[in-house]
Amino acid sequence: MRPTRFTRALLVAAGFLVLAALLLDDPALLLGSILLLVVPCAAAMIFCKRLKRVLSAVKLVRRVSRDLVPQGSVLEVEVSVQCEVPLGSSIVFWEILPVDTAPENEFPKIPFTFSGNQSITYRIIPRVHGLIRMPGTRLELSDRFFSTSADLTAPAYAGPDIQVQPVPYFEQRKTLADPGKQETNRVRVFKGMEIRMFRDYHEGDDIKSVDWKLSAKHGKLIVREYTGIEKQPGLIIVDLPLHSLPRDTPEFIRMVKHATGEVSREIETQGTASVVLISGVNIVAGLVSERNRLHCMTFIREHAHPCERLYSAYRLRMRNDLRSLNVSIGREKKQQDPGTMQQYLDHLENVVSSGIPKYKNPEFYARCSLLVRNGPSGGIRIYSMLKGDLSHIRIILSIARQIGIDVKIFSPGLSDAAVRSRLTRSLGVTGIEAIS
Amino acid sequence: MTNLPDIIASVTVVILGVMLSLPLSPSWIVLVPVALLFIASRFVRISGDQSFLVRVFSGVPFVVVLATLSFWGGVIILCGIIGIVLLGEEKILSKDSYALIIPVLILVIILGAIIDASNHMLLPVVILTACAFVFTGLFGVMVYREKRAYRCSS
Repeated sequence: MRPTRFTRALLVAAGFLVLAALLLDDPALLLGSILLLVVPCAAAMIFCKRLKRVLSAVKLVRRVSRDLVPQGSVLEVEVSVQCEVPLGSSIVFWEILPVDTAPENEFPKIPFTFSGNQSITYRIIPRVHGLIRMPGTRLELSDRFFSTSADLTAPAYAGPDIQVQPVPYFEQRKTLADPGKQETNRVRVFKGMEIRMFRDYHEGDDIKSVDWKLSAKHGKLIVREYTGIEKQPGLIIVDLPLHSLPRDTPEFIRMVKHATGEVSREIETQGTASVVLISGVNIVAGLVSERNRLHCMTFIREHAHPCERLYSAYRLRMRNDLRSLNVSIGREKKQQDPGTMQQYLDHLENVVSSGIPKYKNPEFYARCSLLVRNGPSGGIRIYSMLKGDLSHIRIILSIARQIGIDVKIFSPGLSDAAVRSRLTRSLGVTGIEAIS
Repeated sequence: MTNLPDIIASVTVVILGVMLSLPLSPSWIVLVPVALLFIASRFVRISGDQSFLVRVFSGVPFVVVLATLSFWGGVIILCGIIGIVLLGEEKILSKDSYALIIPVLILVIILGAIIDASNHMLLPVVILTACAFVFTGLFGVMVYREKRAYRCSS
């Protein structure tokens, strides 16, 4: 039970009066201090009774969208709370999240100022596989005199249980027709020192790699497979402009030529190159075929880049959110001015684009982090027009700064020194090199 | 909305204390500004908790002045002001909490008797401090027990 600032003021004033009464030996001052002490004492008695009544009246129901989920996926939790709020008090319920889970956005809370029923829906991401139990909720009761928090973790407020399975359990089964397609820990020509696995001997395997001890133990030939070695080249990131912007401008052509030259030089000197394209797919244009998942994915693939990718990270809202946004905007548009389909899509695209910098997608951040951490030993070079939303570049820069990787930004058409210094300050980099 | 009968009763107690003090008072004129201050505080409308704070603090000079003139008059005024402040504030006491104010008033009268009987203020201050500590400990334990009932036992 914590006293508020109000109670502390009363107690401090009472303390001064008691001290004065002691020094001056004046009973009247001591009587005055009793008035200031009695009020918080009475308030404490009331607060204790209120807490008892509030705790006994809480009814909580929690539901999860699925009870079996893959590790790292998003899980939707719906909590409904019925609560009695005494006059002059306020109550806030904070959901206690299980260890090794993270909320998708902010920490879930339900504020109450009046008695009644409220519910919220939030999303969590389980990071570790195993059985997870929702631990319960934390109630914070406060009035003008005191505030306190109580953990409601008894079985009536906890649960349900969620079974989190490792990601490989949900992967597609490998077929003999496409062996090695999902292999990530690849075998290379140059062997490393570590043994990555033991396997049965196949015809053509090097006889030197046979593990004779294991072979004798199991009665068949078993070979050691060593880890591969690969050289990590520098990472070249090309931030392509929005689809709506023209791509035949001299600046863009100059940037593409410069980036292509850099990739070519990297391949010549290092033998390989790591290239990341930030393509900014116009997901809104795919809304027409959104109901058909296959069509939608084909659309994204075709418009993102006409080749297979090793890694893809989509910085989008959840499909449910996008759908509800689409419905609400459609309704609003219909009431005001129906317009054409293209006008509607343009408006929707504006809304979605303006929301992207504010939307925090932990999965996208994690993928970028993985890319930057595992990738370059030779630094990162970013090619960008530096127009429009730059929040994705900021994410990459912040991760690189954390690890201590050197980042260089190249941009065409930055002849104005004032614009360049403003962008340099805004991105928090030492300098931006202009492509001439 | 305040409870009118309770307020009337408390105001009567305050007037009674004033009446008791007046015959003994050599300078009753001091009572007028402090009483006016306390009455004016009832009509002060400040946002949030500050108006309540003003009401409580304006009662202190009233009690001190009256207790200087007549100690038991001051004790009675103190009981009346506690009644006005607590019962007049709907957010503090609800109807089922009337029982709480009786022990508070009894405690005030007992403390008044101890102060009156003491030659020096050291003993009453020690008793007052001990009472405050006992209250704090008692409510701490009560709140802890209440919270524990809703916590997971493991």
